Amino acid sequence: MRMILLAAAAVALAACGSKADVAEATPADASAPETDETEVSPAPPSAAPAAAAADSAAAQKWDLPPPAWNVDTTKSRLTFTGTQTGKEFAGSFSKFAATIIFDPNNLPDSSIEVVVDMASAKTGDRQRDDALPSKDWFAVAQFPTATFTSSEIVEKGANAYEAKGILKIRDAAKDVAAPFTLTITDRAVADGTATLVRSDFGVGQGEFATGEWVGLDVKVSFHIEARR
Amino acid sequence: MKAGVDRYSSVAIALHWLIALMVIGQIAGGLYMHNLPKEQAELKFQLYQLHKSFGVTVLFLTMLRLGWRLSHKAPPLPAAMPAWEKAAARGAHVGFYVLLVALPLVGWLIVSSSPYADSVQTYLFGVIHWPHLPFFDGVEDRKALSHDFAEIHEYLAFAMIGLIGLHVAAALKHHFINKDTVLAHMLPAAGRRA
Ligand code: HEM
Ligand code: HEM
Repeated sequence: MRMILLAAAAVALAACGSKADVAEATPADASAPETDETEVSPAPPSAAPAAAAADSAAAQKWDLPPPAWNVDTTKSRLTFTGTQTGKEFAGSFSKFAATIIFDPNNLPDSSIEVVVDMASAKTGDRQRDDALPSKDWFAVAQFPTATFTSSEIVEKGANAYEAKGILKIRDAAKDVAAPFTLTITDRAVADGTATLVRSDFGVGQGEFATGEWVGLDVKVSFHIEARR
Repeated sequence: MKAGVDRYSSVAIALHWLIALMVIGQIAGGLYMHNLPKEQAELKFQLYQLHKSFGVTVLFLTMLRLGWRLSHKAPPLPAAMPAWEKAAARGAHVGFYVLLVALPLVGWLIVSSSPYADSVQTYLFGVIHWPHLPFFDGVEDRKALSHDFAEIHEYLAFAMIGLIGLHVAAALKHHFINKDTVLAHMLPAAGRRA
C-alpha cells in the first residue's frame, strides 16, 4: 500500500527530472506507470487512510491501493480433473477461502492468496473419496490445507492475466503459474486453469508415486466470482 | 419315490446352485482379471471390485448354508454305495466347505495386506463398505506379504477346481452309470427322477 504511493511519488519525481536515488529506491516498480503520468499529482502518503475513497470515480486509479474483493462462495468453484486407470474423473473442493486484493491497473500491489480445505475434496466416487484424505494422498490429518500465495500478477492480454506464486500442498512448495481471464462488471468473474504434476507435491505415495494407476497430471480449474 | 427325506431341502438346493454358479464365475473371473494386461487397467480394476464383491457374497452364503446344513437333515446316500465311496463323498463335501470359507478369507487377506489397501477401500457392489483386516499396518514389505497370500489364494482355487472336477464326475457317474437318485438329491423337483 505504502509502496505504491512511494512508487508513484518516485515516478512523478523522476518525470520531473529529479532522477537521483529514486530509481533504485523503487526497483520493483518499473512496470507500474504505463499510464500517461504527466498529469498525475501523486497523493501524499498521509492520504493513505482515506483509501475508502477508492470507489470514487474522481479518484485517479493509480493513486489508490487495489481493493479487497469478497469472494462469492456460492458461485465460486475450485475443481480438478485427473485420470484413474486411464479414465478421466472430476472433483472439486467445496471449502476454500481466497483473499483477493486486485486492481487491473495496479497489478504490482495486487495479490491473491487461496487456502484450500483439503478434506473438502470430493469426486463423486466413494473409493476415491476415501483415498484422497489418506496419508498416501492429501494426508489431511497432517496437512489440512493447501495454500497458493501469489508473488506476482502479470497481464497477458485483454482481460487475461497470470498469477505466479507458490503453491504448497502437503509439505511441498513449488512455483506455479495460473493463467486466468477476468471480466469486471458489477462483479468480477475470473476463470483459470493450471496443470499440476501431483508427484511434485508428493500426492500419491508408495505404489501411487508413478502414473500407473492414477495419472500424474491433474488439471486444476477455478471459477471465482467476487464483489468489492 | 420313497417317503421321507429323498432330497435336500429347497433352501439347501437353492444355496448349492447359487454358490456353485458364483464359485465357477469367481474362478473364471479371477483367472481372467489376473491375466489382464496393464493397458486394460480400467476393466481390470472394475473386475477386481466385482471379484471381491461376489467372493464376500460367497462367504456369507456359505455361512448361511452351513447353518442350514447343521440344522437340517441331508438325504442318505444310496445304501448300495460302498463305504469308501460314501467316505470320499463326505470328505469332498467337507473339503468344499473348507475351501468355500478359506478362499474368500485368504482373498480378504490379499487386499487387506496390499500396499494399495489404504487407497483402495472395498465397496461390495460399489455400495457396502467392507473393511480391511487390521493386522498389517506395521508390516515392512506389504507387497511381498500380499503376494504370498495371492499365491495361497491361487492354490486354494486350484484345489477347488480339482474338487469340482471330481464332484461333477461323481455326480454324473451316479446319474448315468449307477442310475441312482444322488443327482436328484440336489435337483429342483422338476428335474428329479421318479
Ligand atoms: C469363492 C470365492 C473365491 C474364489 C473361487 C476366488 C478365485 C480366484 C482366482 C481363481 C483367482 C486368480 C488367481 C491367479 O490367477 O493368481 C483369484 C484372484 C484374486 N482374488 Fe479371489 N476368489 C474368491 C474370493 C475372493 C475374495 C473374497 C477376495 C477379496 C475380498 C478375493 C481377492 C482376490 C484377489 C485380490 C485376486 C488377485 C490376486 C492377484 O492378482 O495376484 N478373492 N481369485
Ligand atoms: C463350484 C461348484 C460346486 C460346489 C462348491 C459344490 C458343493 C457341494 C457340496 C458342499 C455338497 C454337499 C452338500 C451337503 O451335504 O452339505 C454338494 C452336493 C451335491 N452336489 Fe455340488 N457343488 C458344486 C457343483 C456341482 C455340480 C456342477 C453338480 C452337478 C453336476 C453338483 C452336484 C451335487 C449333488 C448331486 C450333490 C448331492 C450329493 C448328495 O446327495 O450328497 N454340484 N455340492
